[in-house]
Amino acid sequence: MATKSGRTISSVRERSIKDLVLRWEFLLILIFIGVNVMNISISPFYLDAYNLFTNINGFLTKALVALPMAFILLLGDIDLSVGGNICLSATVLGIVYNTSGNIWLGILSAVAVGALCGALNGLILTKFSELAPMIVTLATNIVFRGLSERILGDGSTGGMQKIDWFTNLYYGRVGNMVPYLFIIFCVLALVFGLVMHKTVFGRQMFAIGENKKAAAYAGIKVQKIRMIVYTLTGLICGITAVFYCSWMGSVKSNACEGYELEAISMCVLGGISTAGGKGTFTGAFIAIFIVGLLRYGLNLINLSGQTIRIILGILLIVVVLYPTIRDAIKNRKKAVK
Amino acid sequence: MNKKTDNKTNNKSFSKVFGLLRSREASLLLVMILLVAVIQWRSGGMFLTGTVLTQLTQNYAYTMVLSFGMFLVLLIGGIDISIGATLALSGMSTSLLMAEGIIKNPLLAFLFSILVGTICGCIIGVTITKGKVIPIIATLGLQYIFRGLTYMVSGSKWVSSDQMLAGYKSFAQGSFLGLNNLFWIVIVLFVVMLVFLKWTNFGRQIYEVGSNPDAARISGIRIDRVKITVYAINGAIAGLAGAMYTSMYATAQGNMANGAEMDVIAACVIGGVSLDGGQGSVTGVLLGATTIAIISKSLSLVGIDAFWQQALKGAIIAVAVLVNVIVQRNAARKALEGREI
Amino acid sequence: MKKLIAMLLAVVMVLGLVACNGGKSNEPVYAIICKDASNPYMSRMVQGFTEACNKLGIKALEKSPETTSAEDQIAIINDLVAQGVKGIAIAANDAAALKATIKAATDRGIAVVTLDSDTDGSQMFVNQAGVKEVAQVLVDSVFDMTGGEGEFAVLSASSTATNQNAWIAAMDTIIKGDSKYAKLKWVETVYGDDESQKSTDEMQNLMTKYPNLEVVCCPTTVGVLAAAQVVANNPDCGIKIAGLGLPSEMKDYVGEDKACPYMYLWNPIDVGNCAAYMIKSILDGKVGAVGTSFTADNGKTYEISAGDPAEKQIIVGPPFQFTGENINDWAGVY
Repeated sequence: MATKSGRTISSVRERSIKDLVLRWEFLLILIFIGVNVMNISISPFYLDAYNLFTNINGFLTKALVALPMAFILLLGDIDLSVGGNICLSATVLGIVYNTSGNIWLGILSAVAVGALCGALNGLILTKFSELAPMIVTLATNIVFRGLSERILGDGSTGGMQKIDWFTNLYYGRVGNMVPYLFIIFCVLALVFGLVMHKTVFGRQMFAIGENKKAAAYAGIKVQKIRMIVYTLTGLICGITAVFYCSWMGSVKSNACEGYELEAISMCVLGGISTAGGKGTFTGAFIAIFIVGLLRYGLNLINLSGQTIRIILGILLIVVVLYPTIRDAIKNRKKAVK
Repeated sequence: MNKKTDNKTNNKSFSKVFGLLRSREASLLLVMILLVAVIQWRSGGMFLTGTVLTQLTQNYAYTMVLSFGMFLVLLIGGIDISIGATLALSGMSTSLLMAEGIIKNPLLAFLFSILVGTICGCIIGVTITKGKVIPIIATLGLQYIFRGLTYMVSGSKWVSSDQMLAGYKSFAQGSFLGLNNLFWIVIVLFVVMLVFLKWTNFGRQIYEVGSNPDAARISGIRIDRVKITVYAINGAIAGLAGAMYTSMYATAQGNMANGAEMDVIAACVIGGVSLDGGQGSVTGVLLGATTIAIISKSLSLVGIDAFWQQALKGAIIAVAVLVNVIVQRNAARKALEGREI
Repeated sequence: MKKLIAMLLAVVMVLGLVACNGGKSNEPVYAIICKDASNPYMSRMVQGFTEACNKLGIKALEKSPETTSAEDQIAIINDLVAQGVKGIAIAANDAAALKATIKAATDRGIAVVTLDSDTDGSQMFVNQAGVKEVAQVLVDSVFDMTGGEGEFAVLSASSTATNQNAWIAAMDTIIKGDSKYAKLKWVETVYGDDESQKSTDEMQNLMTKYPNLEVVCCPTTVGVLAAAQVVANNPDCGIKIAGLGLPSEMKDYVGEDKACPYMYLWNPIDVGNCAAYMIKSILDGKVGAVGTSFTADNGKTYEISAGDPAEKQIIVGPPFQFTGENINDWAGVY
């Protein structure tokens, strides 16, 4: 199992330049450079740092959810309820703020609701561990969004924009350049990356994703860790909801639709397998920026949203086909020798 | 392996078959009857009428058909979240050809739609087997592509009723022996699937591939071929559903059946299909799809506030799945007493 | 191995080259941002916008978001700002959320107008027809089709659709405000989410729940189509459909003895057309204070009224009635 878990394999591989080239991250970096070359040649405005940060900020709310999603996928689980969760948390933030007039109370309750929703997923999935996470989170997604629809009806909740510092959470920038959100995102990503690769907890997640039963026999508390990860995902959803409110200033019951698939695509593109147990956090981190910046670039050449989807779909398929193609090339070389 | 394939004809041990029935389909039937009873009571007797049931079978025929395809895919341990997009692409391209006057025969239209769906299904199958891509990712990517192509070929326009063949539109409204034509498709497909899975070699192979791929490989089953065929069948069914959809609503719109896959997967799981593969029955799937149809159709009928409906729908799906698990746990505990680690 | 690297680098370069052909010219550009890519109503509006831009000698850009969310529209506005367009017309997906982004655009001297759906921060709302006027014709259709008294229901788009919600609210005010409508009984408002299946279900369920239902009013192009089809397939139900629909899609159902005796809409081509001229007028500094009027480059004179929530608004024209007689003439247009 140890040889299959990815960690040991990659540390051996790094020594050979040949294998480094064949690594997933190398491909991602190449694509990342490609995307940037493309964007620079498209628009003289692309390298304008201010514009760049404005647009990066635009996909960072989605990217925030991709961080815990990497953990979920690593476990071999999936969470389709993040969109509904953010929507419900944001709704609660708006409602609590508007009834109490206290924005802090709103923020606290949004984060609490997010974590609670995540814990609910975790509770169902650990108490009934034979249930497929996909179907449970699919149902809870409908419930969360449905509750938001019940609360908001055909209206919306807002008014948070009146508070300057709250709006600044999203729009504010350090030195009028680097957005707070960007810094927060990078710090969070660093923490998540370290937890995934440098802690016992992270190693345990890899083990669970590789083989749940074997992990359980090895003394890992599988269900406890799953519970923690689902709750953590919910917590990040709650935090994302705060930034979403700061960004939009108003919440409707269709907020954050489709975030779940977006976050999953980012992680998968980054090399984190939905089958669990494989992947590196660096990959996911690069992939987030590939998707975001590619979309920005394609928008700059004014392709329609649907064409952009086609291109992102092709990119996703081609990149996940890469290992197969790589192996085929390797095998052919062996055969020639 | 035989334990897992509950469809195995086990003529002699009648009680065992009865026990299995009690564990899965029967529990689902019970949930369904309870649900219908509550709806009938809350709606003041409006639900169990000929008109409403006809509407239900006609309106949800295409989701039921889709569930059969998804069932096969889930059986081999795969998943396909692109069927909504496949449906849209095949339905849209068929309608466009009708509008252009190239397809002049309703039957031809149905066949063409099935063809487009089959091609989409083959692409999915090859990507998954030959490209060794995990099903959910392959279909996630292809979903973007198929949906995008739908908008591309249609130029973001709709095909309207007057551009469609009269025979094509009237087919969905017509009936035979008192049952709607679309529902007949469901019935025929149900019977075909039943026979196919129970009595054909290929049907057995599907179960084997899903429940134990290694054993299947050793016993000489060409797994890749089985998988590609299953995805192709699923695509064909999605194509059929595309024709059903466009003929039923007499309009083809780029965003049609958006998110249908989630309802269909829910229907299969409620019907007792395992997402790990190798488990489930056609009867269960039909019951699951009917349950979803009943929920979707009746929520607005029983006078529940429009804004409660979404939350309630999700909750009912969750409860149905949970009840299923609890019943199965009890059954498994009895069957495997002492063997559980 | 070298081959592989070379191949990948080649791909990168091709991407770069393709991109080079993309744009980078100094001619002025106006962009129009749709609600989503799925509605033919939007593509007609884009058509009008592009025609007007061509006449003005300006390059027109069509942008459609991937989903019907405000987030995607924000990203698009940011992209357009980066590209340095001169003007933006947007059919907003949210009445409040775009404010900060639009402000960033207008701060850079870009003219931003809204069309179809208004939003906070817009410099001018090109109103297809006033909310009150639309609600009034809808209520009058219901009044006329029921014969002055009876039950009617509303089948709307999704509960988050801004325009529909505004019209429904205005209908409510009108009916409550005039004793003439006292005998109309508004039984329910249901949401078909602009999907054929859900709309059909909701329509059928309305018929089941309210046997005495006389009229269903659908202020949405998808809903009205689904509802009309249900009625057309049940010719004995005696229900009539009122609402807003595209003539090209509703051709089969509009007419004296058909499901929908008559319906309303405005010309989306005109709305798009007008938006382009409004951008030009704002950039030329022609637009004055509320209450004044000005003549745009298309030769028409517009009166500026106070908008809500946009600062100013102009109204393109009253809703147009489609009947059995004129539907065929218009079906080819939009």
